[in-house]
Amino acid sequence: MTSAEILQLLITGLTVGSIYALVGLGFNLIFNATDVINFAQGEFVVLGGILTAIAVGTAGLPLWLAVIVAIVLVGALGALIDFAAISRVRRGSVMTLAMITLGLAVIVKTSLLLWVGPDPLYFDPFTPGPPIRIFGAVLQLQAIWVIGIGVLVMVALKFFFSHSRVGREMLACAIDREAAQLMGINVGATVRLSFILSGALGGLAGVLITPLTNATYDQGFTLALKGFAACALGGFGRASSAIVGGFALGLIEAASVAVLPSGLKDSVALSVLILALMIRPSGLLGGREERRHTQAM
Amino acid sequence: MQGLSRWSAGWFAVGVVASIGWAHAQEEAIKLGVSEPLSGPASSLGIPVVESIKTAAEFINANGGVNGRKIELLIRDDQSRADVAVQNFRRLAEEGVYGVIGPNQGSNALAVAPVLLETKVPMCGFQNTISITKLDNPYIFRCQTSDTDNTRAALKFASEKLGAKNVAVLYTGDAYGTEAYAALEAEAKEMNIPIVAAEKINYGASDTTAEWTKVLSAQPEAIILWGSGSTMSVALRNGSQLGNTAPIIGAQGVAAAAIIKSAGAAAEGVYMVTLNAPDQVTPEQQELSRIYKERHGEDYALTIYDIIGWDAVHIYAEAIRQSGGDKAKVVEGMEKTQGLKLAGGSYTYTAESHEGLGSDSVWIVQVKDGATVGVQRGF
Amino acid sequence: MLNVQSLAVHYGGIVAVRDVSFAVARGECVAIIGPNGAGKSSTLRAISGLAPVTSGSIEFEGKRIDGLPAHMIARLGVAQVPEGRHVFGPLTVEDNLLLGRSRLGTGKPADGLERVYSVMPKLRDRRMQKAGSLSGGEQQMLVIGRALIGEPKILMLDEPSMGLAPQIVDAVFSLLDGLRRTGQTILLVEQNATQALEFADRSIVLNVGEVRMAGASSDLRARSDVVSAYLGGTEHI
Repeated sequence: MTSAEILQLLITGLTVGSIYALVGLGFNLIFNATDVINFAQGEFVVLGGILTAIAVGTAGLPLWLAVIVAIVLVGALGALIDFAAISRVRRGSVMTLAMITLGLAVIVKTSLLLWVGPDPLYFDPFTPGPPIRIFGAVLQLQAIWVIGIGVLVMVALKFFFSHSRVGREMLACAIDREAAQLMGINVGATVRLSFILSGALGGLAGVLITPLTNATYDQGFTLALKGFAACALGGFGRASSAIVGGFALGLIEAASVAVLPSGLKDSVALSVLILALMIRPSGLLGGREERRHTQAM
Repeated sequence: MQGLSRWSAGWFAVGVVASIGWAHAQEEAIKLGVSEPLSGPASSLGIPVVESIKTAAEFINANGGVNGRKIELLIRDDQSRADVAVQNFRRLAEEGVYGVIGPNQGSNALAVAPVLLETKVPMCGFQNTISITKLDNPYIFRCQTSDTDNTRAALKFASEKLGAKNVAVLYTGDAYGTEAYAALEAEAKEMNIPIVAAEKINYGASDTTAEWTKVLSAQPEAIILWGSGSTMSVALRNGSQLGNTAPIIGAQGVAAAAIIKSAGAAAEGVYMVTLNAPDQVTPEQQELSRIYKERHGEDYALTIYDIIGWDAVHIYAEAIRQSGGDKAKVVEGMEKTQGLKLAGGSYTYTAESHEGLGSDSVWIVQVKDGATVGVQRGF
Repeated sequence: MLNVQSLAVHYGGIVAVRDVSFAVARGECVAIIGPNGAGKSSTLRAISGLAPVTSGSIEFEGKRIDGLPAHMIARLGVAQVPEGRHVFGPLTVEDNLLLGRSRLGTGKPADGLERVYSVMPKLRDRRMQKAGSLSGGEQQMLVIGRALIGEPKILMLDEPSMGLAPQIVDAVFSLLDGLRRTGQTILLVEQNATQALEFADRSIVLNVGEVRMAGASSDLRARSDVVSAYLGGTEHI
């Protein structure tokens, strides 16, 4: 391979990685407030993309307004999921709650199929124009949006959890629910807020990636799997870990295409994940002896 | 609205069955089963096919029926699921159908194959998948072109019309893509066209730039893209973003309207192997085209789904005429089909070959201004 | 200030508290003592809203609080230092303290931090350390500091001496003693009856979910034989 082709694979890895990272950030939000892995996170993303595509395409809204509408609506779905299901079994085990989110993912998926059908939806990139050429490799303009906003969101979340009262309270709820209540923290409201934020974040991710990937009703599971893998690779609980894990996963996939038959891409990426977790159970950024929360942010 | 059309299709089906059954009960109608996806992921294929099946049955019935007998359709939704398809085929056999039209998905065709051996009821399937007629199952008839012919057409077009000295292949990892790739490999060897790169894309993948990078590094003179679903429009976009200038020839799965639409400018100029050039109405398509224009407006251009459903009903009607209306002899009747000219092309079934359409029916079309126009027919 | 009347707490079919009544006046320091399983912790948990009140009533500053959610009770100024400390281990010492101010909503957290650090200088040295990495005694100081920073009207402590070395227990109680002198209302649950009776103005002896004795700690100390009997013979005064 020429150096331009290797550079192209690198850019591809970063672009795809940024998608995984954005999905992973949403996982982290709910995990930070509840210890629960929200398996409906992928559906949040798909819904964000589909709503924007419909708002731009069918309803004819300007893109910025469509984006806001989509993010608000997916955030509202997050609230609804917590209100209708999660909050009803708040004392259930983490496993019970995770199973509930899995069920909800199926409900959202089938509803989307009935509503918009199986065909892919799509809208144009935020900034029109040909991709940027760097030493013979190309970088799509939308990828710059995805990477840029992804990093911006990560910085914002990092600040939110380490420097804001609400962020701190969210962490406290996941670490020790009873102690958090004794501090006067309304655990129910805090968890709901985490669902709203992660819905909005998922919606935002969908808005950003659809011009690259299309939005199809059944994409959620694959996205969730990759976002989850990104979090696991980086270490659950840290905003920066989703970003690091996401980029790592994207680069591994791209690298595997360079040296192996490309059909093996997914299996290579997930094998590396398993291997990495065997060596460092708490992820790349978490210390070996520390458990999940020990480096919460 | 998908939901709405699904419901209306379902109710319409019930209505057709009820009204036809009511009016001609004393005539003993010929029952034809239909098992197609009216819901689930493949419903966007099944719904238009069922409309065309119903249109054909109405047309035949209005023109005297088959040997004076009316066709009665028993329409069942397979929900895009193999287990439901199997159930449908068993029920339809119990209800005494002469044959079944469907299923739509290749995997469902493989699932119902053993049922056909038991019930001895034939099926007309809409698969390109090569293997379905290679199962040594006398009850499976293909009402489509085979990817053996489609891949040959793609290669011939690339070398003869486009002058490509070599090709690269991008294909999906499902049966549709891998079977086609195997056929391409064999055919390319025979035609002495080197395949300089071949990359497998995961079905449903949301990015194909890495695969494209590898393919483009081999500097192919033409690129064959074989797969279906959302990934195909991503692949078309990725190819154009990476600055590919080599012509692309896509499979029938790429020729879907939704994929061309979501690929946008990236689909312009792309060639596709398919069964129909919407801009060129053949004499056999005129009746169907007239009915659909009455129904959907003057600008309506026939799609492949409109064609294959219509043809399947006509094939059965002809076979039943051949067998003198004897249900036990439908398969024999089918195998007497010689050069039956219908909307999709010229159908021939023999005891040896259940392929139906040959490479003479294959169209290569090209995307121009978001629509497909015919370039060449017959290979 | 706090008035508990005929409190009963059942968990499913298990009766933890049968019939408990007592009151705590402003500025007073009251201890609840009793053997394991007497219902001491359950009484505290019922007051702070963590355990369900089956019957009876709890009034705080003249207002019924039984049935209110725990976070609402906390916001009224009832602070509980839970048994087993429950620091937010992965968070820093300072974050733990700041969380203690959650009940006050917004405000200037820096003042509160300064006040706690001046009483517990060790916490200032460790403010950026993870709370989970502190020693048991330091964690106990931290949770008391975390309760104090929220300026509680009543400070309730559940077994603050549990699992601590004797000299650290002394340090904890001398800290509590200092608080009492500033007029802090304190309700203390202790198995260590000797410490509790020495420290509290008044004491209540619980056994099998009921109040067996109550009165000035000095009086109870004088009747140590009876108290010991209720404590199950294992605890001697």
